[in-house]
Amino acid sequence: MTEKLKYIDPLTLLKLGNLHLRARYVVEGLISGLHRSPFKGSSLEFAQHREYAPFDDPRYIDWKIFGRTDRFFIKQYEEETNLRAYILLDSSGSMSFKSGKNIDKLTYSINLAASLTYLLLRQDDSVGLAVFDKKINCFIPPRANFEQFSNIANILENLKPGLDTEIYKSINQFSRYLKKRALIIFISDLFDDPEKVMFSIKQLRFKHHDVIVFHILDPVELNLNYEGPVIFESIENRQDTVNTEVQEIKEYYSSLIRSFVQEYKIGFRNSGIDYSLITTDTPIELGLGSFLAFRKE
Amino acid sequence: MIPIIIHLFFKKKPKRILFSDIRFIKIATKYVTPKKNIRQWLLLILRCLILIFLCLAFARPVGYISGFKSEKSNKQLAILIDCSYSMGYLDAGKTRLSKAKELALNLIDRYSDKLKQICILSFSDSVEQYSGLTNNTGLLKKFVRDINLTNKGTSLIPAVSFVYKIFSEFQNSDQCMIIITDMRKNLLADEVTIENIDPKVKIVFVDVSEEKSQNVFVKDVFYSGLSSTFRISIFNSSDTEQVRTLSLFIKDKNIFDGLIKIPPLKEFNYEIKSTQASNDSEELWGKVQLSFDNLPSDDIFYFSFPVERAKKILVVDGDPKLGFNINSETYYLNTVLSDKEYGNFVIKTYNPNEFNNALNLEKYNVVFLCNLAELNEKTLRNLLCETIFISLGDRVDIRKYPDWIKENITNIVEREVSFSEKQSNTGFFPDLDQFELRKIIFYKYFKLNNLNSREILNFDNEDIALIEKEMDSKDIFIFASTIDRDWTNFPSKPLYPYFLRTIAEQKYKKQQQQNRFILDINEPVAYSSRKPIKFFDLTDPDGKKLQPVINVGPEETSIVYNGTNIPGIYELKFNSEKGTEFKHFAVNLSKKTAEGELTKLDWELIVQIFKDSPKTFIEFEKTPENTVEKILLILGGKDLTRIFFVIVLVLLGIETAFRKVL
Repeated sequence: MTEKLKYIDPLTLLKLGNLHLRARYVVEGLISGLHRSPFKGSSLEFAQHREYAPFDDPRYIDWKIFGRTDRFFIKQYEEETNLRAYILLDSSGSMSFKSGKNIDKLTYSINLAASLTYLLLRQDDSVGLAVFDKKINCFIPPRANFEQFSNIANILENLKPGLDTEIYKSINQFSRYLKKRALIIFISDLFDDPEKVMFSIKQLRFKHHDVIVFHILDPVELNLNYEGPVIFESIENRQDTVNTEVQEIKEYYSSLIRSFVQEYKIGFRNSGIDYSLITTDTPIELGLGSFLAFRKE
Repeated sequence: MIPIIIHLFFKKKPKRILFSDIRFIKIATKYVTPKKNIRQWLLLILRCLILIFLCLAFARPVGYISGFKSEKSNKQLAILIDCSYSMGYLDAGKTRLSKAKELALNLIDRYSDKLKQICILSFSDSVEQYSGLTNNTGLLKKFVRDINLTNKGTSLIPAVSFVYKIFSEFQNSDQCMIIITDMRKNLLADEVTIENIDPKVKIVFVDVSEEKSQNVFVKDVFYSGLSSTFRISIFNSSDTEQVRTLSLFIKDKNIFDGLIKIPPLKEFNYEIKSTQASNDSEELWGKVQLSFDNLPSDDIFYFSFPVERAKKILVVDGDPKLGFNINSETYYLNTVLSDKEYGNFVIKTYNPNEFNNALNLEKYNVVFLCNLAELNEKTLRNLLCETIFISLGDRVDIRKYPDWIKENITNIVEREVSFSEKQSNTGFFPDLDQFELRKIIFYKYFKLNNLNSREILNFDNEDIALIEKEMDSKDIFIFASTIDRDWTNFPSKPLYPYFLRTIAEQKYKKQQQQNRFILDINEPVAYSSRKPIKFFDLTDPDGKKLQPVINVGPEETSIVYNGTNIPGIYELKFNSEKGTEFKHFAVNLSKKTAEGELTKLDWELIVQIFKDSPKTFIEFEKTPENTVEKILLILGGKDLTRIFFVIVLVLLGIETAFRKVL
């Protein structure tokens, strides 16, 4: 079944109607061997020996080795996967944009969030959710039991596009909820001031959180694939319009949006933040799969 | 409105699209919109132009040059034909005048109808002939055929003024003058004004001259009898070097032939020394001739000169000798006065004894009598000369001078004086300051009065320094002091040469003016003599007898003839006391008119003079028919319908291409 569902179209997933199932299909197609906890500490599973150093806990000295070699060695164990993960989902008005047969960015992001939730819970990691537009509208603290999936799925299924975006304010607000080091998965179209957005996300990285950014865009937002004279209305503010001839601006627009994306890409990469641009015409399992493969490397 | 409506009709209606973030669209639009707006405006203008030209095309338009639109049915046309001598320029076997005549004949044929009156006028520097206004084409054509070249220069003013006067008799009529000329620069002089210009009269200038032409002419001829040298001034008005044969004829005998090269746009002087120039008569006449070019009339220059003799001057001074055998005065004066080129003064000096003992003194031009103790009446009257200059000094015993001299001389004044700054109006000594002669201080002088005489020069205290009077047709000058150094502070004798030269040259200049025998066409032939003339005969260069006017006055008889209209030698034969005498007058085409120069009249000058009149300029086409077509187009306008339709089609093509790009 996993082979069949590997490149399934997100629109087909949407048609299935049950988010729980949809997410599971997608994650199952990708999970095996891709994710492991990188931390080391006290655990049941032995990892390696290390020579004793001052201030090491003497409880972990391997006396058998001492008997054989007359030297102190410490036993090291693989830590348990008790990762705290937060999914930050942008639900601003601009996320409701869709073109042609593609699903809107918010639906795509919800699918992505659900898939990630499923993936993490399956690994016994604790997962939380924060939904924001101008501010944090909904916050579910992280938990590791599988009921958490239903909690998060309920929120996601009932999610409606919100107001205009102020990403950096929302991130600042969110950072106050963080007590321990965590994995923060940020899903947004990032249509805000790139400088401010990057500054606030980098702040999270500086506090030793692991940050992943999923930049979700509709393909039309990249190539402005329209024709003739068009009056563009802003989704977030209908009063804000611009009358233009698409053919004339297409080239220049593309160069602007490319610079916009490139600015995020370089900015995040330089700060050790994983960044992935995914367009809504890309099957989720494909976008997510290639990203997780990249993380594994 | 219609093009704007069409423009708006073609404009596509925009669709509304909700978009996530329009900031980049705004930036891109802002960057692109100005270019788009310009294109839109261009498209609108293009569509406006299409409609305008379409409307104009259907209106069957006729194009006129500014001011040439004719609204009245009555018309008068004057055709002015230049017949100055430059119109004789030959090009491909045809003169400019014949081209002008062909053009006029064609124009008469094509233009005339019952409502149009035409007149022909030929002009040089004056109106030559006028046909009168008529619609009888036969009469007009005969008149044109009879127009001949004149030997005169050009001036448009009299002809144009004449036409304006003729036209002024017709009210409410459409009037035009067509001036057919070679546009020499003397056609209109700078700063000229025409008083009776009617700004309603249209003017068409037709230039019948060639695109590139060349001409060389003899500008002037000078002759020095003393050195037997002709100086011939030749002007090349072409922009290339020209080679010509130069020939000199004295009377009818060819005495010189030579090949000359004349650089472009330069006046060059050539000298011919001729010992064959006859000295046996009092005049020398003949012609200088260049090998003929396209304008042959100005290649000949006729001349007639009085034969010059050296000016002979006699100086009688107290003691002119320096040593036993060297006559210092003679040496000094000859050296100072001799002309390097012509040496036209011959000085002889005597002391009073030599003078008194000399028998049969030869004829002199001027005799200077300096500081002579006595001077008797008989000696003075017997002197064969034209001028006597008497300077008074310490040796003079005034009681032993003739009464008619005594009457002007009173006592000796001892006072330091110099020449006055203010000279009398005779203008005898214009260059006293140049020679620094006002710096001479005289310590003594005879006080003179101006009884029966005129003042020539004064001292700075208003006393008279020099007077002139007349005795037996001789000019007598009396100078109040010495011209030697005794009564002056000058270390040399500066007044001697200055007075000698000035007095002699004044006399010579007078003679030159009287004996000018080289005339321009239309200048009168005039000869006067104090001797009675019994019989006279004047013939023109063709041998035709002329009828001059003779005026017999109490002192002299003068013969004047005013109709010199062909160049050449005019011969006056008359009987005097000496027997039969001949005088020859050389009449030439006027070189002052610049007729032979190739420089054309500046169109700006025409614009300036006829600033309010509708005017245009065309060049003669290859045939008169083509030129007439052009003139008729100017007068009747050009049908522009076809041109306008073509423009509409072109604009439509551009609009379609442009719309696709947009």
